[in-house]
Amino acid sequence: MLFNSYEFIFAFLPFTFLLYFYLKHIKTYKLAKIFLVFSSLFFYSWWNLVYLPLILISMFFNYKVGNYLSKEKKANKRILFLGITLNLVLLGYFKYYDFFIENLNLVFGKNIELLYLALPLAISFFTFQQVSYLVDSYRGETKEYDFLNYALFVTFFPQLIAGPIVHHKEMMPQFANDKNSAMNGRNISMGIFVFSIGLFKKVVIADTFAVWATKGFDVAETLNLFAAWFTSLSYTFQLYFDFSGYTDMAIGVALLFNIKLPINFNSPYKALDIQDFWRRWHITLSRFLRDYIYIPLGGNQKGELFTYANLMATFILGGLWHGAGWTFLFWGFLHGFALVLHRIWKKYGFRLWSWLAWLITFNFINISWVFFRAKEWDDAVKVLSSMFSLDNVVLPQFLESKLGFLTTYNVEFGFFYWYMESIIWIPMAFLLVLFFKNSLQKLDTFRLNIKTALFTGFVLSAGILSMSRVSEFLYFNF
Amino acid sequence: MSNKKWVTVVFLVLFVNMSLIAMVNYVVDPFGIFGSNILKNKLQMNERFVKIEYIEKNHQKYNAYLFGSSRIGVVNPKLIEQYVPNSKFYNFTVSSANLYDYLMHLRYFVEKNYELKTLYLQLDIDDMNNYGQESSDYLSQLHPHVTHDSTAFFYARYLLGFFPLNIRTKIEVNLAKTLNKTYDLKKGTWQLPYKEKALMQNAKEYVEKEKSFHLKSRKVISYTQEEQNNKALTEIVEICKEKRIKLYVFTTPHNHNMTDTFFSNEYKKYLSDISKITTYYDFSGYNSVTRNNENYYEVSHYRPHVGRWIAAKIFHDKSVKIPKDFGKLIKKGMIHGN
Repeated sequence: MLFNSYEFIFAFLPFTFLLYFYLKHIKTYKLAKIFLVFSSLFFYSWWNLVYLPLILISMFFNYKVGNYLSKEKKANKRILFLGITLNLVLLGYFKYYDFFIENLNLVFGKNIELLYLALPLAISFFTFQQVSYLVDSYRGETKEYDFLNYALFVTFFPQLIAGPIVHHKEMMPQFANDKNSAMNGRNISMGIFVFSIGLFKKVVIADTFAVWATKGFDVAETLNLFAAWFTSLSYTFQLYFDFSGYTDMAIGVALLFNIKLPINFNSPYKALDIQDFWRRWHITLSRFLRDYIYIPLGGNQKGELFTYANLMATFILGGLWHGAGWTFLFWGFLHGFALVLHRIWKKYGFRLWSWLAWLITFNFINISWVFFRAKEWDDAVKVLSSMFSLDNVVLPQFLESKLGFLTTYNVEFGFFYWYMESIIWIPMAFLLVLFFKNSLQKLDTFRLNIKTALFTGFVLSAGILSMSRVSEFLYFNF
Repeated sequence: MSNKKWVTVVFLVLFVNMSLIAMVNYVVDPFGIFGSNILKNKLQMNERFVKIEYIEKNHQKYNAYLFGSSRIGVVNPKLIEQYVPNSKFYNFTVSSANLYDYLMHLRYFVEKNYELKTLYLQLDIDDMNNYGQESSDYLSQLHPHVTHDSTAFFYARYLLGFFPLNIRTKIEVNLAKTLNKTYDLKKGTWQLPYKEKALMQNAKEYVEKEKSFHLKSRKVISYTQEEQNNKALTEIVEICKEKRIKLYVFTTPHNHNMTDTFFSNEYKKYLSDISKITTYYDFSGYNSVTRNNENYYEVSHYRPHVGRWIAAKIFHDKSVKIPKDFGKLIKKGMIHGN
């Protein structure tokens, strides 16, 4: 089920919310939690019932292993290894099997059949969440959690499908806390406020950019210079508004249930360097990669060269986490490499003007998203080569009378076909992401007054009225 | 302000906005879904929906159909009837249609047991990179009876959607004193009386003024929907065979400017693929009809007399003078390789 669907907004959410608090109101706390787990599983199964057993088995297995690891005074490395391996095998089977076989066939000239398995929804997210639980249990950092709270930690529907990737330490105490039992008026207002902003970001802004990004990447055979830049920028903004919109909605819905989810975005396109970007973009993923890959690999404790190697390895794995493909891997490589360069840059104390630092950082991010978005290498090459080629410049027809002399420099005049409107939307998106507070900063300063009520009402209306063009969230694919 | 009051204001604003939009959508009816009929001119409409609604009520009047995109919309069904004895044709042209639409509509007609003896199917070459419709394109959504989706959900989408441009266009069309385009739902056809008149009076001047004829075309259309298109056409041919429906397939005579946008090898491959599935008449490519801009309203749509030539060629009508290089019968399996 999608947050931006009629069935979620008008049926599932109100029903779950009201019945959950009714059960709490009549002091059946445990029943309320059981109801919330079942509701979350229903929410998950709406997409495809077939994969419900998968999440259930994964949840039972990890709970048992985690509990065993935390109870054992002498840490059992083999059990931990077995637990992590089985999680990764499950993820690998569904997500990476075909990719592996395709490359095996290519390298060894084999013809092993592909499975064409549909990726079970949220598998990357719940696998990461539970791997961190196992590792922390081994480290003795988990308590003896109740299974019901654990089940809620894994399945809680606002964060189940596309994160934020929550940590047991920040979630379990909230689920266990009975003070969260009653409806909290302030949380409800704040939840509606941030949910409305998220819905608007997703259905009004991201889905509008999606049209141009899709046409440029998937439909157009060739792109001229401007079309290529509008295509890449459209995707850059689509991805941000889509994913941060989703996160806002998740945070908003969770707040209705008195649960605070961790922050996942903090105006990432304001970043002045690549390290700064990763402190602002998909923060919970960065945190996971740091705590469970980069630091266990040795982090920055084993000398400069090892630090660089660890950074590269972490980001290449991060790229692969997003999808089984060489374009994702290359995207991870680019970001790892940029972080290494940035580290060297910092080491020698070089500095840049802020505007130039922003320009370089933003353009690097924009260009690297081309690999992230492209379905094939050819698509990435098509967009990138057109972005940097002066052989293919087409200006709008109406400028021909004034700039006709440019035809001697191979400039052509023609229709600005499908990307015409993006010329207006792209500057507006720049304004929004660079000069305005982000939704969570707005939430921090949220006041109950007529201004915020009218703003929320209009933003929510615009979101719901634009919802008829139902589309999926990009991060559902990862 | 209390939380209760704040939440009340939010939902009040939401309710007022949604009611307002729903009311405007119902009254203006920008896609012709609700049949409110307050704005009489239905030029801008979801043809797929409107025509299925019409056929559901009037299917007994017809036993043969013209399938195609808007490009076949100028062909009077009576013209084809004279070649097919005892036939009653309906022009089921729908804008931007592709093989997905033809297949879905054919399946629906068969499922509903509508009488169907002859199918006159026009295939656009630019459909080689087209299959299906985007869910955001409200002018092109199939009728829920055809897709077997929820009818209530279908209406809700049209009632609660925000369509400022379509609403504006519908109002503008209804305020305009002269109509550039007319529509005949009973035949299923459309006409451009003013353009036709201008072409009749001075075709050269018309062609000179029509911008689309003078734009430099670039190769942009390739064969990306090979698998889906071939599968759909195969199923159409099989259904016709099974249900004993006489099927006439032909390709659109695209204006030469449009043909310039096709990647040549991929265009040939598309023609070759069609010939693997069925016999058809090929009117596409460069010939004396497609090279002459006077046969078109703009680069996309041909004029009614071209439709007459197509029919005359297909039905071997010697009484009609057809340019010699116009149309070629491609028998099944005739094109091999490229």
